[in-house]
Amino acid sequence: MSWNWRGRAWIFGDDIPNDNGFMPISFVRAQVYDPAVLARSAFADLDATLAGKIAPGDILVGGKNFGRGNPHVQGFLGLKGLGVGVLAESMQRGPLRACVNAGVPVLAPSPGLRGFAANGDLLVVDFEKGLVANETRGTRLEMPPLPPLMRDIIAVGGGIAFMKQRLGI
Amino acid sequence: MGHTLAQKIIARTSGRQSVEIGDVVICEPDVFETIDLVMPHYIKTLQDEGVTRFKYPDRIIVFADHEVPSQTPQAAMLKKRLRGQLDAMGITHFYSEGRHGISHQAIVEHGHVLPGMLVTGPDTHIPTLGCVGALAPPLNYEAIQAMATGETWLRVPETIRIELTGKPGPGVMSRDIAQWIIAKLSPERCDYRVLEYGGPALAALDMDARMTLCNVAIDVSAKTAIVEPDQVTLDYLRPRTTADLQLLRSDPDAPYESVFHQDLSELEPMVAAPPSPENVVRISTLAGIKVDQVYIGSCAGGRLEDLRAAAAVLRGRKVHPRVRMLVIPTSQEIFANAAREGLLDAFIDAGAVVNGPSCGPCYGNLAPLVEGDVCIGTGTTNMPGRMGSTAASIYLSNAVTATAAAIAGEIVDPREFFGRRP
Repeated sequence: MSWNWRGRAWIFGDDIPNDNGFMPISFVRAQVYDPAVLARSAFADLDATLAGKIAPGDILVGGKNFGRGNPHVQGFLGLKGLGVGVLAESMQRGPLRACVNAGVPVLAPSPGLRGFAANGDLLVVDFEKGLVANETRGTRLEMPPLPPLMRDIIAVGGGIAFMKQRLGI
Repeated sequence: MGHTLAQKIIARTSGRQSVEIGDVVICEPDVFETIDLVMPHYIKTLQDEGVTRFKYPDRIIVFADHEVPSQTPQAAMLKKRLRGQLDAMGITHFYSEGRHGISHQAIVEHGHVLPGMLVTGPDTHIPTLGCVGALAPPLNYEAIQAMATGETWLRVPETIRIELTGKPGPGVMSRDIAQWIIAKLSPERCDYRVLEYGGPALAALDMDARMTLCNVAIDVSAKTAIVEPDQVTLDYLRPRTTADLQLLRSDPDAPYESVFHQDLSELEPMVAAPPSPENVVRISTLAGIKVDQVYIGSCAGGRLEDLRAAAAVLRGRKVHPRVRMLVIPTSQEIFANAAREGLLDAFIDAGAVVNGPSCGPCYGNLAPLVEGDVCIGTGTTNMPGRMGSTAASIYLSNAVTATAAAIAGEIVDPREFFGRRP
């Protein structure tokens, strides 16, 4: 996986929940785990047309507590299925961990992110070093990179691949 | 400089002398707690990836809890195959339907969790296990990998010490203590931190209360919560395990992020209003809201403490004709004790529905709320959609407050409500 991304920004507000925000909770109860299937219903409770507009390589820009609440895996597998990266002003422990484990590149927290980009701005992000540029505006931002072990998990594609590495298979 | 209890547990299980706050280390948990409904998918996922065994099958404890008994043919088929799958993977600790309870309750009752242990698993409310002085952060889906490898990574968290003093007043239960602390601390402050309960008031808080204190912490986004183990812990665990019990605690000079003092005599019944558990308000501000469902149950509030309180309120009274009241003991052990104490009569005579232990309504698959419904109860969280429709409203309270609403048909301050009635 490449650490260097170039994609359009999709701006989200504060306190977007994982359950019934990232993904309808019905997919949790139905035990759906296929990222491609889940991607089609991502953000359906916020805007049913959104998943169809987001392209692989795009970058979600979250506000405070992005993906808050119970970090059921379905929401994060939906992000994986969409092929997006995530920047967020803040993410609680559980959602951040679930994002990393799904192999979705993420930078959080970043208090300076608010107002940095508008919907559709072209962003260039180095997820490894924490460098973010808004090409549309010509502005830059530095965010703290994740600890090395969390980056290792993202680098191999997520928790399952990391597990296989640890098991030597 | 000393170390916190969390640091000591992480150091031991990561094979180090000591760890510092912020270190990211790989630990081998002592126990993995998991549930019947997810295991078939977990095992299949591992097999698809070429993993045919768990590193430590004897550390894995499986509970039937989210859907007991099965409500769909799909769940029934999962459960039918599960025993064979567990046998093939060498898992012998399986508390199946009838021997079960909500995992976070039953695993403690059965003596699998001891002070100083590191326990993890898929379900979010595993911090409940902190009641005996164990460190139990949830892993959600990542538990698959942890069970396969026998290890998981942890970032060494800061700890907020919560020093409890004083005695709670009438109508105040452990749920109120937990709810109040949430409101005062805020999710921002709790995030990624461990809440450690201690202080002179602890001696009067039994294991039921301690479970609730720890359980509620996760919904304000703490990493986990832990109660300093003491004589209450020993008295509770001695009949449940033959293991040697060590009361591991934080050092007196441990590097707490902060120390929060709470005098329990200052508290009153609190309610968490929609849309989130930290939206905690005084009961008086909600009086008069009509309710459709009252729920006593879940891993946050279906223990003997809750059942006794609800039964005491209900005796000689009836559930309001407009209200459906559900009483669901958290485990078979609690259910049995409630029967022996005669609590079940009080529920049934009053017109409440009593079900066997399951996560049920708090998982949204039993008695789902529909659009416009209002529920007050002891469930874990009130985020929209948790108990069914996203257009239903969920209020979280202690068992007395919820039961008073069942009788009145609306939210009432139980202290006033019972004050004006004989």
